[in-house]
Amino acid sequence: MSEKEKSDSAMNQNRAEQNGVPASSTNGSNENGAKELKLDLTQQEKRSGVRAGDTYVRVVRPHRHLFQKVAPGVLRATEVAIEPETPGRQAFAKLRRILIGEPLPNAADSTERLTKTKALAIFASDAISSVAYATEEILVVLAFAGASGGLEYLSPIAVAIALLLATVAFSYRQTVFAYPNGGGSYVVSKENIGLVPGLVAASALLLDYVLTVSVSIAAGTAAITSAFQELQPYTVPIALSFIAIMVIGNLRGIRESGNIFAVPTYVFIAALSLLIGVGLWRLFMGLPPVESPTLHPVGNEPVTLWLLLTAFSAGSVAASGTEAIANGVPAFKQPESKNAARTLVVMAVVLMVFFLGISNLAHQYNIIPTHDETVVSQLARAVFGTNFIYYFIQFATMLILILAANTSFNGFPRLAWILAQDGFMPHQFAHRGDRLAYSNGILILGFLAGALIVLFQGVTVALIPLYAVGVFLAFTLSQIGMVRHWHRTRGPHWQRNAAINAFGAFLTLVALVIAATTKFERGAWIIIVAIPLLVGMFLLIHHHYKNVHEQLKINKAEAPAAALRQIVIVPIAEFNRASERALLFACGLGPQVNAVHVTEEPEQAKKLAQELAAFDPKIKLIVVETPYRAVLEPLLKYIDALHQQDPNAFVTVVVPEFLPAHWWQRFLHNGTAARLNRALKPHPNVAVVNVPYGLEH
Amino acid sequence: MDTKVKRILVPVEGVPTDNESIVLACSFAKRDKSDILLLYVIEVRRNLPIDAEMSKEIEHGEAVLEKVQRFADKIGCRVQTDLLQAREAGPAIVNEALERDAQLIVIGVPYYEKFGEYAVQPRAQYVLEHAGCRVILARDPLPQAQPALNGQ
Repeated sequence: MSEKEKSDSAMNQNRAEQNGVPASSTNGSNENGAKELKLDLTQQEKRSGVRAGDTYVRVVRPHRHLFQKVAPGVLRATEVAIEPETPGRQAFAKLRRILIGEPLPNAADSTERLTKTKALAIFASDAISSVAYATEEILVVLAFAGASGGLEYLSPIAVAIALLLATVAFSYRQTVFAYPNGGGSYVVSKENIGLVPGLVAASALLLDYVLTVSVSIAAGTAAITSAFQELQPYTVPIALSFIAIMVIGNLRGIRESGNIFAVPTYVFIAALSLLIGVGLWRLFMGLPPVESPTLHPVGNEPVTLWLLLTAFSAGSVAASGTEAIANGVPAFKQPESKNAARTLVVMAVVLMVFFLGISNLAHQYNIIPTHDETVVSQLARAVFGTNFIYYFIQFATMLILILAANTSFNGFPRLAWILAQDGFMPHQFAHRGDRLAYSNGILILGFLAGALIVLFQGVTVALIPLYAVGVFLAFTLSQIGMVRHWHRTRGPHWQRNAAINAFGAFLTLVALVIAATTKFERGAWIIIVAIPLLVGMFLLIHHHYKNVHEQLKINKAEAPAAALRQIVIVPIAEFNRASERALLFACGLGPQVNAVHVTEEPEQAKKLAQELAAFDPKIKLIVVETPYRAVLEPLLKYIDALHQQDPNAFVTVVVPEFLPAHWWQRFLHNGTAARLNRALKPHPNVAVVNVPYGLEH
Repeated sequence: MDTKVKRILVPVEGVPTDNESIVLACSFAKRDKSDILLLYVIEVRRNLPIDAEMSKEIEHGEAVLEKVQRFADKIGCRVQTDLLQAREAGPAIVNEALERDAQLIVIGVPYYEKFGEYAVQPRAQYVLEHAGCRVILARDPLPQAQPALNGQ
């Protein structure tokens, strides 16, 4: 007896019972003849031992490799259970494992935490990398008034920016302790100022993260194509490959991406420490530069307040990325807040020392940036000459510029996750991938940054002015939020804490106003336009989710829903094994089964009526003749018309379907079942059930 | 005498001795290409029916079996696992060995003293006395002598 025949005979036996014919009882069957199911997939086999009283029970769990039993009524899917079944999907899963590694269970979350060393590399690479260009940004502006003594203002401006950095970092240090679950600007602003300011901060940061990736990757690529000019035509593919590497590295999980990306950050720290240390020592000893910087012509514009403010605003890009640590506190090892705060302090100290060091050396060596050579490159030549150490510093700078994007790859998905959890971004962003990374956020960030690179053909320098506005807007809102937080909670030393944050808010607000006014024409307006659009989108998404929730919510005060009245319809072309099975299934759903036969041959309908009457006289048959030969449309119209007689009833359309043994055989059939399924899917009060019948060959 | 074994039964308890008995069983299994069956027995109190639903114990047993199975995989040894409920572990092991047609039981025992003298644990004792097949006992090394205090 084949499997199919066995199954058919079991069904006939079932049916016989329903018709009042007793069925023979089988082991493990209930009084209806149906096999008693063990929902926890555990079976017990009683075994009698050799001696009386040695009876024991074998606990059989044949699917133990798929589902672990963790408590009564609770199973846990194992790694084997998530394996796909079809060869295509298996191959894709294999490829995914090669690229991003073995899937991690939720329990591994605590092991996927960062030490302070790795966290510094992951969260601080953006901030630290900015020392490679922040001084240059100031000098580019001051050079317009070089002949009027404008360059003399480099040091005061650098000190002012360092003060701003210290204040921002210290303020965020307070946030880290106040919001141990991750208190980025969004959370702090939303909780303390209001929803819209929170969303404004979130929009600003999301834009900043996307810009950071595209600009830093483009900058890193430019460093390579400058060194190897023959690669110039491949700028876009190279930049996209870097993004792909970043995406894959981050999809492997935060701990592993820390392993991958930590080394370049520390190499850069070592390289700049060497450059600043040796440079200062040479100045102290009164030694001349190894290679004197080329003298470049400078502008003779007057030194105005506007010029100084523009220079300040340009250099304040150094603060970008400072908030990443406050956003990612839960990613740290325990004690999270303490470790995050220490890392933040280390980051701020490194950033300030490097920024002041580079600015001071640039001032002492009279370095002016040019289109051909960066400030760091000129400094390295002046301190070491064009030798191995010079190339080492250049290589480390190139690496850190690319790696600055890594901070965004941690910041963006995490912020998108928080927004998705609050219902302001699509729920897909709340999903964590195989390696507990926020995969969708990582992929979208990679896609958006890649799109910008393609759009600007790898020349994203024009995007740099967009930075500071978003960053300082988020900083300011966050600091104001913290002031209100301290005022609201009134914990110990709240006045002191509030004063620190208020000072931070004042400084970042000043920086914001300067950045917005000085950079408005150079592109800052884009951010000012984009933020309200994003906020609007977030509110729209939230409105939708709220609506869905309201509609799905069960109101306990209301009377419980009555049982659904069912109209069971079985479209039937001919009486065969597939339709017989569908009719048997339909008989289990309701007392009245209605068979619908759409035909262009009335003779065939008569034969079918006889066959159905012989099978079960209780089944009603309605024949719909179709002289225009269309089958699907008349059937759909008939179902609609029938439903109109009792609109509150629920229509279940049971569709007989046979499954060909081979994939190519599908093309030899009409696929009416699938078409019917698709056509009926949008109807809210219609359920479509396909009853499959597998063909053997 | 044919010493070839087709199936080896290894009772486990979630103790360090388990690994030693698995290593020993694996060395035999590799030689004879035999199957290894790791067995965990839940002892059911007499105030409960023998087929009582013992979720917590089953969960623990499965965790033990999973752990030892992972260890066996690590040392390149393929094993099957079995979970039993019985009044006493000893008779269940003996009967299961008979049912599964095991030719060898490798049982790990910790060093155990009763009234100041070495004694075989009751479970192992029962298996030694009643198993129809061969039994190999993998006993823990002797506990190290206490270091003399103050040089005495």
